[in-house]
Amino acid sequence: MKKQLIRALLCALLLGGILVGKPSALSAEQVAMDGDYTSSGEVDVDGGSGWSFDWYTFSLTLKVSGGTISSITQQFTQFPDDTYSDECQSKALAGLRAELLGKPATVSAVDSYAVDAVSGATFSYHALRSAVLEALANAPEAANVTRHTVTYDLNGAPDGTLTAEYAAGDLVEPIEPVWKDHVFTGWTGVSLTDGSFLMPEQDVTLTAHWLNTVTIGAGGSKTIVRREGGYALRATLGGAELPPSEDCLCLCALYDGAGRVILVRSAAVTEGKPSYADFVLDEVQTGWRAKVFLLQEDDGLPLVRSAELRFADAFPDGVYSGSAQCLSDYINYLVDVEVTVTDGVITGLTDKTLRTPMSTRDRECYAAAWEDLYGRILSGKYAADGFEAVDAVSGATISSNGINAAVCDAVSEQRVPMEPDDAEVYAPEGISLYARAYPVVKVKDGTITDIRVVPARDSDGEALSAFAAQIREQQSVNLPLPSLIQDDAYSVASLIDQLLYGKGVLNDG
Amino acid sequence: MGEKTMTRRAFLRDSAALLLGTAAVCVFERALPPDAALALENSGTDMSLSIVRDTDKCIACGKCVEICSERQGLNILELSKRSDGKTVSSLKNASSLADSRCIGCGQCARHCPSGAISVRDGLGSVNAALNDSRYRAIVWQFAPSAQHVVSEEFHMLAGTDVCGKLAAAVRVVDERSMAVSTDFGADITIMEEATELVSRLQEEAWQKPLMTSCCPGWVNYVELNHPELIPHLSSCKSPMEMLGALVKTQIPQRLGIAAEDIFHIAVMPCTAKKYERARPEMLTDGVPSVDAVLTVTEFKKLLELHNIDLSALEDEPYNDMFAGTSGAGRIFGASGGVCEAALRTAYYLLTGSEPPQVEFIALRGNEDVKESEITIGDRTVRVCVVNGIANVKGIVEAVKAGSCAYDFVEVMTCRGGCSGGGGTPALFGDVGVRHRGLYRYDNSASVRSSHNNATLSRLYEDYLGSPCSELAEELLHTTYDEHRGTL
Repeated sequence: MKKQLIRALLCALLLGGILVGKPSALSAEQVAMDGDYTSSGEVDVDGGSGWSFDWYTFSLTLKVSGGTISSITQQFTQFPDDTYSDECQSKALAGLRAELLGKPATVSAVDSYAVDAVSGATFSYHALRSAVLEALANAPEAANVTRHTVTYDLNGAPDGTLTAEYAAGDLVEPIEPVWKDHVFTGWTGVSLTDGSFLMPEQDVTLTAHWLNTVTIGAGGSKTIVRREGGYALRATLGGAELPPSEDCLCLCALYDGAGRVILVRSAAVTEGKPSYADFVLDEVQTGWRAKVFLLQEDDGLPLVRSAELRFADAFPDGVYSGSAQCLSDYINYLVDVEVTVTDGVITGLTDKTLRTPMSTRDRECYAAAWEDLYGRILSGKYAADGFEAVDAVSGATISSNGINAAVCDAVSEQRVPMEPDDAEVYAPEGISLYARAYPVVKVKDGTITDIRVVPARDSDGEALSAFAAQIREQQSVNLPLPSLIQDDAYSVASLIDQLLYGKGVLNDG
Repeated sequence: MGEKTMTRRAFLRDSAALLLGTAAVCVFERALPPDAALALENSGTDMSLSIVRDTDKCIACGKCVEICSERQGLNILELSKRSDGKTVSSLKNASSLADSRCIGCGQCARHCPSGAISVRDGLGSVNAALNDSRYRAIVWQFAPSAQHVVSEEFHMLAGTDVCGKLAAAVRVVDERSMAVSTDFGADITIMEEATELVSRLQEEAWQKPLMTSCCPGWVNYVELNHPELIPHLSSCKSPMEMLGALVKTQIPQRLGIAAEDIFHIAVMPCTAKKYERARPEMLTDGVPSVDAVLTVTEFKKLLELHNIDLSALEDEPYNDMFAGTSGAGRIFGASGGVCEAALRTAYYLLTGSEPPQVEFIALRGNEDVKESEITIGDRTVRVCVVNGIANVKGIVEAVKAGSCAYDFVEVMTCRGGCSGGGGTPALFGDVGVRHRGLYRYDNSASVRSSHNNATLSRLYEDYLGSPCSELAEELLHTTYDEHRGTL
């Protein structure tokens, strides 16, 4: 009993002595003062039958200059007996040097860079790394090193803003950001020399500048979210067909909402891969369009190709509904989706489709396509603005195209988010040999608010929609059938009758 | 000496070819490996009296499998690979419909988009009869639901009552035609069945319940799967067969012709009726009570063949012989209708007075199982209506265990009853849209209970005597065969 008490007392004394005697260590973020720091370490592996190297000890010298680790050297105090241990330690030291030299002399820097052991020299590496940490921890804090923040404002690109910290006097090489369909043209906010600058004694904000790229000849038009003031764009000419720059002329015309020409600019074509022409538009407004023309001589004939940009307001947040018809020889159904947009990015997707008639096989294909596209569209951080399509799922191409088209439809021009809709939707389930056209009916508060029709033939769509509108107006299916589309109209009327029977909606009881 | 029809050489040549052919067939059959035999079975057609399967037309959409297993609970179809690698709808554990437990409900055919499963044709025999001058009268009977479902085939809203137009149409098809309504058969069924129910209720100890036998799919289901239930089935024939027996006995008397001179066509919403018609128990004096059964869709095709637009015809009355019908007979076409009609009459038979309310609303609608308790005099009658054969399992188990608390159980194979039958066009929404017409007719009918049907009362007085009399038993009741393995 006495013995135990004495032992406990000794332990407590020893521990207290260690705690008191140890100099206050650097915290993770504090930078070590310039100078040389030493520590020692050992590789303590039982050289049993499985291991072919032996126990050894070493001392380590860490040199800190300008707040960064400038050299790491190692001396053996107990030299290993075998050459294999020698190889391992050389390998480990080389790996650690590659990771740490030039990095800030902080514990956190070592923790974040020297993480993965050098393969084949695991024990030596860990021993060296602990020694480096120990040396750093024992160093006093650098007296006057304060760090400042560099903020990268990506100016509209999806990543938003990024930050990094540097000590005053550090050489800073700004990052090169990437944005789909844009060319990065440089930073403003600080003057750069050879692509870098010396960190001043204050925080710095860099603003990225972009050119929107327009590929001439690709066709279609692209919607651009208008930002304040002017707009710069780069017309690229497509890599495969590089015309000699003196043979062609690039023009940019700006139109206002009514189609009047505001200005026309011309620009020389800079050769490159691909060749391009840059334009700066001093002012653009919502609803305006910019059209880029390439005039080129082709075997003595003038050849004109063009591309178009539309300027619009930022995509408003909200839920949008879209639909598309899947149609082929044996497939005919409507795809319905609801797309949630947050901060201009597609963040939600809801399937509303299985309310229209599909065969069992169509349903399976559709489910496969949905599962795949759903994940890819949501994880891809697609901007709602200008969403085009993700790759189709093999074996479910028509369903994939339908889903893509429905999402495109949802985030297309109208840009009016859906009102919260508690309307009930009725649509026939299953397919019938007898039905020529299928209705999808929305009912709110006991009234038909909307009828959409999936026609058997595209050409009947308009006449059938007119008939459906008549049903909606009269809230009755007991109407004379239009003569040219009698069968199809009857299908619509009779299916609505069947779907809404007993719901107290139709006037026909 | 007549003309020489065949030279010796030709005779020898043909005989040799015949012999060789026969030999080849024998060799081929013997040499046929089991797989090839299976392939032969799987391809081509297989038919019962109700259904025709042609797997060569199958597109493996799986609709029939879904309907058979999930909606009907019969589970006799599956998608499987034929030995030639094609995936088709096939029978589970059976090589042909004859070996299977198919009850002939026809829902698979109704939903098949490619014609791989279709309804066994009845138009052939009808057309033959129409062209046969031997028949002195062509009698058409129209099922209660058929009188409301045919409208859908001619651009009229579901549930529209077209019985007047049907009578007119068949007289255009053939001038020998006589049109009668199965409503009359339903009225007799109620008289017989309600009498049976009342007599059982008055027994001291009886094995509950009494189960309806109007639905041939249900009767087939019992015979094939649960023969123990046969004692519970009402011995009444179905309305179609009851009216058939009267058509083949009463009309010959009235017109002074033989029963064989009448061709009797029943227009039904049902495919299992095609089998019921051919049951040996259904002969009346040695002739079939019903000579052909057409489904609603087949009847539409017939009218199309004769270029008749039903919606354009003026209404005409049915032939007067069985014209007096009640609203109770009409609502047979809806799930719960048989039970409702039987209760109206059972109430009268037990108490001698009319029920205070003839509408038993609790029995209407599309719920899978509907149950109700009705107080008649000093006793409570518990009834149950099963809608769709998939929902009958619980009751079957209860009856087998002797724990069934219901007195009277109505079972209809198809969802919604006859209105949703396998011979009707596929319907997307609520089958109640068809019931709408049936109940409307019942609401506006001057006679709403079978026992108030004056024509029927006169028939009992003049001919049958009383319900469940000896003659009625002979003409209007039947037996069931638990050993019947196939359709």
